[in-house]
Amino acid sequence: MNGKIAISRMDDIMRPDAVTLSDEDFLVTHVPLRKISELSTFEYNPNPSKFISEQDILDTYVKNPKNKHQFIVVYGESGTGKSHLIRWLKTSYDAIKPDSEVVLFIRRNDNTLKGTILQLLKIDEVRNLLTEEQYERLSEASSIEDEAKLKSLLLSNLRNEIEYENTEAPDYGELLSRREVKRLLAFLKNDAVEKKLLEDNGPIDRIYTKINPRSTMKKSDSIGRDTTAEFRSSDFSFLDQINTIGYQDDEASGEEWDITSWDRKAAKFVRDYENEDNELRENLPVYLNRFVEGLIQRSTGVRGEDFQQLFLEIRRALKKQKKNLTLFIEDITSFTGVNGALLNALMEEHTGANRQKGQESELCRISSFVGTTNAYFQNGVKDNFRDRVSQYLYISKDAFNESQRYEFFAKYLNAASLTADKVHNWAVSRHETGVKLPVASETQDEDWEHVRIDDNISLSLYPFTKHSIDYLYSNYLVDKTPRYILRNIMEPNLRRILTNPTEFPAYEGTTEMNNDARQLRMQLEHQIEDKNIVKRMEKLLAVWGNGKAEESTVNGTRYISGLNSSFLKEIGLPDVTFNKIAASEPVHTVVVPEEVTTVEAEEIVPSTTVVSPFEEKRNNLSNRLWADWLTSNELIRLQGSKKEVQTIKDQLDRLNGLLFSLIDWMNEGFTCGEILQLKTRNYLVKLQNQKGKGDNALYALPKTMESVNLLLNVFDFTQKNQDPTVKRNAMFEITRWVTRHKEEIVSCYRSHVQKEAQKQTAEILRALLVAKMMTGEIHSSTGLKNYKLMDLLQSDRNTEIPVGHSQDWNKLIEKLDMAQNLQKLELYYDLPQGRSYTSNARGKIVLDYKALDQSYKSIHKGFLKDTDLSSYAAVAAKEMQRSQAAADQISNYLDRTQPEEYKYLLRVFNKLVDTVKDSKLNTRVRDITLPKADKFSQMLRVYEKTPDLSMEQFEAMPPEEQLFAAASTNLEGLNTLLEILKDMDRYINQIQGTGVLNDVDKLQEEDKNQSNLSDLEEPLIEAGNLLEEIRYAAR
Amino acid sequence: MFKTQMDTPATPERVYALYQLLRSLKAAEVKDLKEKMEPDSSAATQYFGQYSGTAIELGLIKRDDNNNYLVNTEIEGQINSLADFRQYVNKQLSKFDNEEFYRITKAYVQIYPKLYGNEKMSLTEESTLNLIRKYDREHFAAHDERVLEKRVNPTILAWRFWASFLGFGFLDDNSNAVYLNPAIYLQDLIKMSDLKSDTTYSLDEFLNALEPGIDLLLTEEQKKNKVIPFGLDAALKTLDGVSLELISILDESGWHSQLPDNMGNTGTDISAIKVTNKEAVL
Repeated sequence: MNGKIAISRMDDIMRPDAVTLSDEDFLVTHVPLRKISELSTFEYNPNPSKFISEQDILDTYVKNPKNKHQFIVVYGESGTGKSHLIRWLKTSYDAIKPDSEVVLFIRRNDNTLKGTILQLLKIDEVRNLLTEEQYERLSEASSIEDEAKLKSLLLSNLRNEIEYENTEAPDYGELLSRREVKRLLAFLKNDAVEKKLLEDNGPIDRIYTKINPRSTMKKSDSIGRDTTAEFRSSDFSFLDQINTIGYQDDEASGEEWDITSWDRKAAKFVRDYENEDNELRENLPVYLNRFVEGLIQRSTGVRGEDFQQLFLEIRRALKKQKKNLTLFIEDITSFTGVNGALLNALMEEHTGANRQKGQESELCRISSFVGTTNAYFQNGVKDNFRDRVSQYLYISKDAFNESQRYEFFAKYLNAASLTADKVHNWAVSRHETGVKLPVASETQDEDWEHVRIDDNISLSLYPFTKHSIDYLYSNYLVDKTPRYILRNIMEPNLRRILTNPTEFPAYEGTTEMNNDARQLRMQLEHQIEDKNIVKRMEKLLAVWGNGKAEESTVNGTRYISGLNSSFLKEIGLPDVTFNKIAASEPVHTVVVPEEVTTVEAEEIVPSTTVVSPFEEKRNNLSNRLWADWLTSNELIRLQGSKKEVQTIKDQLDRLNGLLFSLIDWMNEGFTCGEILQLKTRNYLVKLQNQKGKGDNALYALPKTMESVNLLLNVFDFTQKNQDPTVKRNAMFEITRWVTRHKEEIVSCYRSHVQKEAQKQTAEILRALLVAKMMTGEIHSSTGLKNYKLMDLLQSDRNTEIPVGHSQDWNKLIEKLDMAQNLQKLELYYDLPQGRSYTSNARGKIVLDYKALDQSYKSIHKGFLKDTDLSSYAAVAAKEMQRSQAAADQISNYLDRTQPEEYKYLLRVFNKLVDTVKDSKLNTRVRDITLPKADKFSQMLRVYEKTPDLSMEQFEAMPPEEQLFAAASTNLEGLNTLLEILKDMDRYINQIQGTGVLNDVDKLQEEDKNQSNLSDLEEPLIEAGNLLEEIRYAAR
Repeated sequence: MFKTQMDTPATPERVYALYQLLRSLKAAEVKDLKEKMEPDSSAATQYFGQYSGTAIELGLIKRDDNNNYLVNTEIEGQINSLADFRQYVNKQLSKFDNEEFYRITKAYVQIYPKLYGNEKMSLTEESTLNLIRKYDREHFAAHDERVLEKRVNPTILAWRFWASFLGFGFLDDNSNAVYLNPAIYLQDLIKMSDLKSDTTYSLDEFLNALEPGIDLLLTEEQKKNKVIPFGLDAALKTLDGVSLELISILDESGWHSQLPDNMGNTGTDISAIKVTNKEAVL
């Protein structure tokens, strides 16, 4: 790498869009795409098996030896290299085309209609062909600047288009009914909806960005240029938030979203949309997209016919000059809004059935190569056009294989170190025999990893390594396309090494946590104090290097984790010492020293000189799959019924079974709850690169003979009728392995299960605390704050649902399942005797009280903050509302204009209670009258205790206070009292009429004389009967 | 447990949990501790006496005249993790060298290789128990009037939890066997010894430095004959490359070993040991 050149050339070279590179730079960095396939019909996601080279496309289609009319679509997903291919075809054809061929190349540039028009207007030949009126219209369209104005124009034109079609067109399709369209129009006219649709990244914004480039386009925007001007169903997902929980996105304008205040039709539209049985949800975007093209034309003043005429004029003019036209359009979406008209002009053949015999066409032959994404072609191009496409060329997403990825990196990095002059000289002479790609050769790259490309040229990957390319490509890059490789990997790292090497690498991702990585981290932390340096070093050694804490010396050069130690020094990292790999051991270095640059990276074969018994065993491995696993980088798939696969699966199953048992998880500090979590997994360990059953295990056995040996020993140990010595030695080897690797396995799972168990403990404790609040065990006077773990543990395990509440309230308490949850909680913190971790297999609970108390304290402390009490508070509010309503009614009865009667009756009942209690009266009197009267006075006390709260006051309380208040009510008691009062009201006259009250009145006089009680028997029975009647009515 | 007879309910985790609880409370009444650790007072069995008794035996806690429990302040700060607790107990073991735990451990270490010839290796198999009884009769009972003979069966059930915890081997729930590999116990002895890192010792020097704890893994006869028994062999070979480097010199000072080394070679004598990392954590 030549830093001086690279620093000035980097910005020229590292451009994510192929079209923005100069022709020379484009050619010097070009890596041929190898996965292009020819298809006769459009398939969205084809699975081709045959591929065609770029050169073949040039020879067969672009050179067009039979001079045919052609319309060729080049398609693939965003970023796969369509532009690259089209540009390469154009540039290559430029150098060899005959004079009679005119080549027009319409670049994507900013990928807007305006940008495209500007490009066309700049071509003199094109400009001269336009009429004055056409020219004015086009230049006017290209000068629209005001974003807000154009966007609002787009929306209002959309409404007009819809309205026009709905009134005028006799058939407006089966997508939306006429009534639905009317509702849609009302909906689109709503201010809040309009605002929503005009938001950035909304549908109108998307259409806008295809017409006019943003004045402040960010660099990141240029990456996602394959956006389509269209409506998507997600544009209307905001409707799902209306009505159900209220529209919450924008609190300030919350009222705008109260659809009850909306126009009736607009509100109906929302309800139609929310109805899941309705197809509106699906049909709406399709319906609206039908208007997009016309909408753009109307809003910009550009007419499709202008474009059609323009291209037909070009073809006529060329025909007159006896020339033909080859047209390259990088991206059809550059013509969004007019692409229908454009396609008409390009697809019109110069020969064909519609020509009269002998009549020559006035149009020249045209051969068009048009780039598009699958999605746009599928949705934006009508079926009748698709049938007229002469050939489809599909570029697969994984168009680059591993070695091409290396080549891609190497060529860009090489180009960055070449001066523009050098590249130019090569470009002009590249067709001459013997001219090879120029190579920047710098001394610092000599010891660095190289790749070999065509013509026996070797290019340095500095500052990347194959390992880093593979790692970043597989683990870091989400969108695995050349464009993102450049933007997210190559450019930032190159910039970092050139401008700020002591901060290299520019990688913010994490590293995979496998056994090697843990070992590496441990050793780095041991040797380096500064945590930031450890982090940086770890990233470098794990991603750029081989990730192993090892060092080796090859030809006098010291390699740390496979990276040249002088490179570490160069980027300001300290020296570290790792376990040395002896010369006789296989050196898995990612650095291929100069003498082996011609060897493909994947072909490095470890060489060994001393054959240990392990190696011998390996050489004799009867199971081919084991040998393959050790030597290949491919995934090992444990699928199928082959015997050798079954054997490995069996060995892994046995190992996992043993590990679950042999590792004493409680001794490793796991709580019982954590162990129960752990046991939900079936596998603790898997093979490195394993796919198939058990591949979700977090610990991967590295590809070492030690791992194979372990599994073979597990097999030997668990075999029946095994020789005792073999069995004994096998178990020794297993215990040796477990002792050495136990901590690694345990640490893989520790935080994972801790997190899960803590989550469950928190859920249980929160449910218990809420339940205790609802049953009144925790109430406002004792307070939640003072409720300790011991209160919970010593609370009545069989607490029944409290009396007097509504069914809703009781059901909620039942749902909180106090007894079960308390049992679970104790189970999670139990210290069982032995390994019985489940409740049905253990004896008495002995708690790890301190650990449980710590969990309790932390959850209790954050309880009010972390617990969503809203659903409970909602039930509490209902409970309170019902109680208050009953209390209000009771209060009404008691405050009537004739309160004396009630008071009198109360007096009677109280009298009855006082008098009859303890007396030796007739049991009939005692058993019937007394309980009724008693109930009445009890319920009256309930009423008196009911909190005197208005609902406003209640709602102003925090949710926990609301729960306390609701828990203290007795809805059932109040209702009983209310019913009694209602009946009393009805029977009051009867009471007065019967003279019972007079009789009872006598009680007052007689009550001091117990001996006369027998005289009262009859009147009391009467009163009792009456009360019985009242009770009956109350029921 | 260690001083008196062994009881299954006194598991290492319970003893440790009690100690840590009392540490956080400084001092507490029996009733209070009991309520906390065994909240279900209605249960018929009470284990508190057993695990609190073990904690007292081990000198972790003590009971005052008012029936209150107090932590032993002399060891305050020494035990902050289960690993610390394990090392603490391992340090105490030789104090109880005539008691049940010690006797069963020593017997088990010696009879272990023979278990592979049995049909089953379960601790409660008669064949296993008889081997232990026999060893105990021949090596301990002669000097001690107390008879372990009949108690081997209940004792072994309590022993397995502590043997696994203290790093003598791995308890397998499925077969109820303890697979002997006292590497963790040996590493604790190394850590507590005067041996120094990056220093090479002859095997005799190395073993002498680990007295008296090493006696649990080695008999006088084996010392005399320079034979490394299975348990010690397994532990040394496990620590080879971790905290030790086993050195083999073809001379008469070598002790005979059987088990495969890191490269899979068997039958190599061990002459010297280099302590590479005394503090290694397993």
